[in-house]
Amino acid sequence: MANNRRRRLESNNVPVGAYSPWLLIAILALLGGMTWVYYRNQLVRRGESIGRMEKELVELGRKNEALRGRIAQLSTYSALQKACNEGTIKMVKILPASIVHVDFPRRAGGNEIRAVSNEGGVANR
Amino acid sequence: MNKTAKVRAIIACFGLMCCFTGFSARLVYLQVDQHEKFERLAAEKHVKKQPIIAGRGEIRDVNGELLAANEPLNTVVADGSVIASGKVAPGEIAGLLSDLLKIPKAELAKKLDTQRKYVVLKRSVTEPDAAAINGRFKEFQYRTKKPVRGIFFEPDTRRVYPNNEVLSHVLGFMGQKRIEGDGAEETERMGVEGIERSMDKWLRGYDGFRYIERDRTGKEIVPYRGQERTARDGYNVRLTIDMRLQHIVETELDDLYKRYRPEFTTAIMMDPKTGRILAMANRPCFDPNDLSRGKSEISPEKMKNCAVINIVEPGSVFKIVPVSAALNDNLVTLDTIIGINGGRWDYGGKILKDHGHGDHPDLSVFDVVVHSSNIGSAKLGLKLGDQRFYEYVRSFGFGERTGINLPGEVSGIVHSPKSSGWNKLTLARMPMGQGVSVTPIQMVTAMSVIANGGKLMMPQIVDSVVDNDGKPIVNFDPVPMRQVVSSDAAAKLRSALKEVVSKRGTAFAATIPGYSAGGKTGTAQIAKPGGGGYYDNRYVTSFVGFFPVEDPQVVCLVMVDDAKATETQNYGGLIAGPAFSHIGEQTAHYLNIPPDPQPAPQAIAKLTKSDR
Repeated sequence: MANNRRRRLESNNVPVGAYSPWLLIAILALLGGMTWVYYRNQLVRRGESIGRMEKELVELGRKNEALRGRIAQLSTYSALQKACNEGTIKMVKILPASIVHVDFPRRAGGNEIRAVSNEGGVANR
Repeated sequence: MNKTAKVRAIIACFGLMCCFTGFSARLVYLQVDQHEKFERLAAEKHVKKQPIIAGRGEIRDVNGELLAANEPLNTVVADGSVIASGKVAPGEIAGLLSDLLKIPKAELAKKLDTQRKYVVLKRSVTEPDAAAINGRFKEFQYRTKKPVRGIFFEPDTRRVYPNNEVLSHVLGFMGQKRIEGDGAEETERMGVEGIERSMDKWLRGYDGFRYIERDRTGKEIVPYRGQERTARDGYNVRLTIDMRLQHIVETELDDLYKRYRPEFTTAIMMDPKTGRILAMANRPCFDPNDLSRGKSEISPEKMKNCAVINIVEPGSVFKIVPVSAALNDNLVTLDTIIGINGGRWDYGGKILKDHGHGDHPDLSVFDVVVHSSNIGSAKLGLKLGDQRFYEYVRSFGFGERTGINLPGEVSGIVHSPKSSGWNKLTLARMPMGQGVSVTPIQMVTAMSVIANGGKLMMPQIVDSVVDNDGKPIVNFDPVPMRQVVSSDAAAKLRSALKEVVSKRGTAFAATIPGYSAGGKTGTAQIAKPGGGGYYDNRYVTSFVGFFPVEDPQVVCLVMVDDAKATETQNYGGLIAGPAFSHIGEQTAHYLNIPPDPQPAPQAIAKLTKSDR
């Protein structure tokens, strides 16, 4: 009993009430720090995905450019002539009866309605 | 607290204070005093200026057909140090790459077995090949669970011309220039010839850059990107050339070149009202793709755009100048009779001949044109006088560059009356196209003056410069230079030139079935180099014509230099005339020009020596 009393007298009381504002500040700082780390991490991850997408976009652009050049090479007059001679493609005669002459004003601009023909399509239904 | 404890606490506090003061001082020293040094060291290690290469603009024809584009390529590079530290042996990597790079496996393995950080394995690897290499690496990794490291692709481009030889002289080609940059020698691509050169400043664009920060593995940390300047791709150039017409012209030139094996042959098609060049071709020609692929054994002669660089004596084509000038100055009318002295005229001690006109003692101005009389033209020149004739020659654009947007154009040679190159015979010789040197583009431009009612138009080959969205940046509008002759004088001469393309004229073979055409033949002897007179049997044969005569839509020149033809065949009307006819017929159909109500008869070529 006496020992317990002596221990109580010699021990330092922790003034929790006085420490609580500091504790709160520390917790808030910790939360703030963790949030900052989290968002920083997110930023880096997002940056990585942006980088990946940029790379993909560049690669797609390069592929597109390569294909455009190839299409242009295959559709030149001389290439088509060669393909025609080799029988890879053939010319189909357009009969006069298949040609529809539409008398319409010069090219309409914007979203104006334009004259079109669809012989053999809508007309024959 | 007792005294001892207090002293201990003070000492501990003091120690801690000293310790933190030391830390703080060190921090201040590093962060403030040494800030720049460490920032520089960090930047050197992690920050890199990454170039952003601008793409070169494309060249398209007036209908948007692609004429010059960029082909993406790759340079395959190896980092020997990474390979050495990896799990895959250089021999294994060589086995994967050997057939795709077309390099022997042993040679490749030797290249890869190094500590060097930058070893170029192969340049100009196409996108499909690069994709195949990547696919093979992935398949290898899937099979062996060992990733291939240390092989990189560096992006590169090559200029491609889808039409190969077609329009090669107009488009030109690219080359490389060495430049000093950031202490290291670099190469810069630039246009060397043709539109690639003349429009280089529009086509090339501006490279950009970006400061990037990399982590310890070398990967970019995207959020830490620094200063950036975006690249601006080059603008696209749209030509006035119509590839459908170009193919018509090129096919005809191919035929001429095979048949007559000339030194060169040229054809130019122009819209006389605007000066827009619709087609321009030369033979011999070259494939600019060969130069892009690194083949350099093409002879310079093949690469020369004869249409703007070669100068020739024009011969009878030049007669349009004295006749139109005399008509414009009201010195003569088309009915004025010019004495041709039975085809022999002694002027200045030299005999001037008109072959085959012995039975025509006199000719009207109209017939001087139709029969291409040398004496008649010379006498018209004399009527004009030295200075006036010279002024007209210059006014037609001879002796100066036309201003066409192509590099290397020459001005030709026209002596002035005050120069030593002009003597008493000049005024008799120059009206028939001797003693003057012109370029094919000058000839077609001069004929356009007659076709469009007397205006000299600057030839235009570039229609516009547009950005990638098709928004025009610069439009090249028609540029009228001056009124050379009145529209009345031009119309009179057109009526005579129409008769040239008839049974009476020198160019019956230039007739375009269904259409009225006019024009002038030229058959000029080739001058010996060094002024030693003319070769007897070598000629520059040409025909410059227009159609339809009432409202000319097209002017076309066909010129053949030194055709290997018989003496009886070597005439402008017989060699260049039929080519004009074929080109004109197809062009009229393509441009949907309504045929004349009374079509001209089919051409039957039959000319005599007088038709030169």
